[in-house]
Amino acid sequence: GSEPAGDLTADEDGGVTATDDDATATEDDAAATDDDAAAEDFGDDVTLTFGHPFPPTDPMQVNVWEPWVEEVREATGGTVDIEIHAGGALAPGPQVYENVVAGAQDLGWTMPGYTPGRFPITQIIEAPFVFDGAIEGTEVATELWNEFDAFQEEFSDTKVLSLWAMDTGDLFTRDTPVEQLEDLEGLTIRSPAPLQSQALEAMGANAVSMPGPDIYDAVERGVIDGYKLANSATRVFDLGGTTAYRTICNCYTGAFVLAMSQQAWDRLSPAQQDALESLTGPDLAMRLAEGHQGAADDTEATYWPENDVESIELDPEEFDRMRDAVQPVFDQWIQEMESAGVPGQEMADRLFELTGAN
Amino acid sequence: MTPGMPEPSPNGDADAADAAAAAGAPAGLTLQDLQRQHGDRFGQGLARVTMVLHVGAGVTLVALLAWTVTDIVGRSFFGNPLRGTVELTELAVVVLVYLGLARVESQDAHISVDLLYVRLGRRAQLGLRAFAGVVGFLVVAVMTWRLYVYAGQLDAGGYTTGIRRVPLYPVALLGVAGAAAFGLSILTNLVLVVRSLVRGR
Amino acid sequence: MANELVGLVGFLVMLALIALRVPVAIAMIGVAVVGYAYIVSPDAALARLGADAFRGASLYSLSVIPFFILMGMVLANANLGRDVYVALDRFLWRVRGGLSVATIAASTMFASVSGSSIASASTMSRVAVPEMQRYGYDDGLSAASAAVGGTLGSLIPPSALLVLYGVLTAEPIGQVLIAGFLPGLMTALILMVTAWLLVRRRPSLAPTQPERPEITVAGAVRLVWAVPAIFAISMGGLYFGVFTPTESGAAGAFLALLYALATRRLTLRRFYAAVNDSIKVSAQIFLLMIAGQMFGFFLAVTRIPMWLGRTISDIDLTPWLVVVMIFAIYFVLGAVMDEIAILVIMTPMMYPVVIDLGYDGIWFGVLTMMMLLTGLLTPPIGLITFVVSGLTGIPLSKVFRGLTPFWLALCLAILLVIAFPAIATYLPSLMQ
Ligand code: NA
Ligand code: NA
Repeated sequence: GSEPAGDLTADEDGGVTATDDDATATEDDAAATDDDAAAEDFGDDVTLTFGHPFPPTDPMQVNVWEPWVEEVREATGGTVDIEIHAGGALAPGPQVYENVVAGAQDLGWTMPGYTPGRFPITQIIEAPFVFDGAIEGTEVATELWNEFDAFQEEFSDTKVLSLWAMDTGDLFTRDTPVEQLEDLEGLTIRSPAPLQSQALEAMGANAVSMPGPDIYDAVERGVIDGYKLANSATRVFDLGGTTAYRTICNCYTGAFVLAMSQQAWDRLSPAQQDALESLTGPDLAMRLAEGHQGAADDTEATYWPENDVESIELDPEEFDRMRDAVQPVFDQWIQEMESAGVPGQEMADRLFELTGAN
Repeated sequence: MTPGMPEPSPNGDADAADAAAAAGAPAGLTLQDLQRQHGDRFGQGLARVTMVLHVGAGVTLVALLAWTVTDIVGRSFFGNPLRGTVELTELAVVVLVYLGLARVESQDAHISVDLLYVRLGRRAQLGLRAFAGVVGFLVVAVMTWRLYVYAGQLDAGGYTTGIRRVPLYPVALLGVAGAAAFGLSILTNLVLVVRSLVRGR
Repeated sequence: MANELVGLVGFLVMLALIALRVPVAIAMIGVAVVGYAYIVSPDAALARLGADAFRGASLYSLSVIPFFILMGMVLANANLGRDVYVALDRFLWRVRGGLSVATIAASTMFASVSGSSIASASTMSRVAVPEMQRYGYDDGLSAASAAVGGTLGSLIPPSALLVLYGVLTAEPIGQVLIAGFLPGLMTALILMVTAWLLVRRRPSLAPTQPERPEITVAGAVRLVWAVPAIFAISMGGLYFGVFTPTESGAAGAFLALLYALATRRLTLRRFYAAVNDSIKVSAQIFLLMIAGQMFGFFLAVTRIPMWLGRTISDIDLTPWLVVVMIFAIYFVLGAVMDEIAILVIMTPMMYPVVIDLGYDGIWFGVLTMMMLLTGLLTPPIGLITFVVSGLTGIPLSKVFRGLTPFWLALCLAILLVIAFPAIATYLPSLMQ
């Protein structure tokens, strides 16, 4: 927070009510004497709206966001209050980011994969066959974010507080075990994101994009033969009963972003901005990634065995064949990036260097 | 349709109202009366435009049917469905709905409640129509504007569908066109009502 | 103002606008946007409006609706109703009060595939009622028979209303559709038995037994085989997991079209009319659906559903009493308002309450539909009664009197589904 805009806004907005606000803040501060934050002057009270499309019962909502809201309140001497609106009450999934851009909501948590075409560079976090888990995905995402300006520019119309990866998604099928590339031929598979659709098609499957909550009905009815989905989400959507096989392939990692509207950021005082920054960024990203990974490990240990989902270990040669089959997708991505003036080749090289996946 | 045969309709109140009218139920002053008495050239021109939009909607529906059936056959018998059926279906429905809206208005075929309306005198009925027209025009005008803004966001952000990467904004713009025609139809009908009120007949 | 109060005021303003003949969808969108702007912020409300106007229509699960409507419009424009009646009469003429029973059966069958209560009631009014009058049937019984079967059109799948319920509640649409089948069939049987009992108790209602219809059994089968066939493929495909709901709608519409064109029941002119009507009705329903979603989001930020749930659990009423009260509200609304409008307005408020009380969402959907269909028959609106009265010339008072026993039979059917939820939930449970 290097800009003085926060102060200016506060002064302009404050006007007649400034004294009242100060009085409230002082009371709050007095109440929290133990807190280091109490000594600082955080400025006016601010209430931020935080909307996301995931259910209010989502593990991240319960285990991370609700405590986090408390931490922000404490770290800002009670001056920053965050109201969470879960379940898409502020905007449906594909609209969350634009809503943040427009300042119609202050904070938004969403998946860039929900809006094909909008975040072409971020798709690299969703690259198939690359990441072995949420932690690695998040570490690499952070590295690439710091190293490549183009990546940051993709989100230039908001203030990105955290960017992280979900736990890896494998390939799940209803009744066809997928043990080799040819097994995918003609299967209709739900795809979570655009790059994944291309990868599935390159492997000979028919890709269908559909939201997570629709998978159950579709796979149950046999409309799709299988799905790519974050491993932990198979339990969230309770897909175990519909699913016979899981092919271990590190097929997919979903990227998440926590974005804040620039207007809302500018409304904060420098002290508030500092406090918020200390509670977001890579640390928060890692905390979220650990949450996802924990849920994934637990799903593997208990949920799949309970539901007779058989895990198929791919023969290393088979894995390489699949990996080779989707090489054109990487190439196309690199080419599209390069022609848009984005160092796609360099990003991909760095990705493989960091993950050792190639 | 056979004269006197009410238009079949699963649930449309409008057709139901037609049927009820044909069957002698109290329907009150109708829009058709007003159009006969006070219609003008702009209204007729707009009616032609809404007709064209409506035909566009019908073509979309039939094309969607053909596409879906081809997809089912391809999937069931050849293991080879059409690419991107789900996303194209979603877009087609947006198109057929918005292109169809203006004609719903120009035929006064909204789902509305006539309980009070049919018990009023002619001037009071015109008054209610004027009120509903003003509210309807305001709501649809704002909606059209915001849909236009949204189409701009879709364009600027490069939003596409997931599989075929069809850009979304042209579809949203078709929606804007439909919504705009819808708003203009409301306005035209409002003018008819006001004219009738002023002329006192 | 507390958010809950804003919600309540918004709800009342919306009802007032609707009473003043503002289209239901417009009233809902207007109130939703203003209320949302008041509670959250004008920026958020406007951003929401643009996105919802697009995304609200662009839902795959809703795309079945135009197909169901097209299927119905094709079959109705193909004038199949008359043939269905003629054929069923061939099978039922020997039964006491058989014309009345055949009329109820035919209108149920025709309405269930065409989805149109009005088309069904008007066809029966023109075809079956004169026949009943010829044999000296009571006017009230004749009119009631023509009116009552058609109401089951939105309960027996395919049904656009059940799809709307599924979308509004996120219940699986295929299961919601299939759930309507047994209750619809049961209700149709109860209605037919009612007609039979009425005539048994008071033979003067149907004084003479008609002669055997001229048509042969084979001829009767030839006339109607397509209706159960189309139903079986479309709904059977859905039930056995061959089709998604959208695909079952497309298959039904396509087969209906194929049949109607091949048998020359549908000229190009009538095909054009069917498509034209389908667009009109789809646009109406989708506008209302978009409005319903917007109003639902407004309600969500007012926290009224939560407040309602809390209040009801605080009062600590017996759950079934709450359900009965909810249905009383539906019933009153059903007398004055269109059933789709009631569905879209009330479901987002009532569904969470009912689920909180531990009831099944699919069961509630079926009961909602049964409550709404009684509204088609109750004064002062009861559209079907107007249609029947107007087309047959039988006075409204006689129509209502004739309907009274059937109306009680509908209530019995509703009570049975409340008492034995499995009637609604058994078939869907087999799909899981
Ligand atoms: Na299983
Ligand atoms: Na039906």
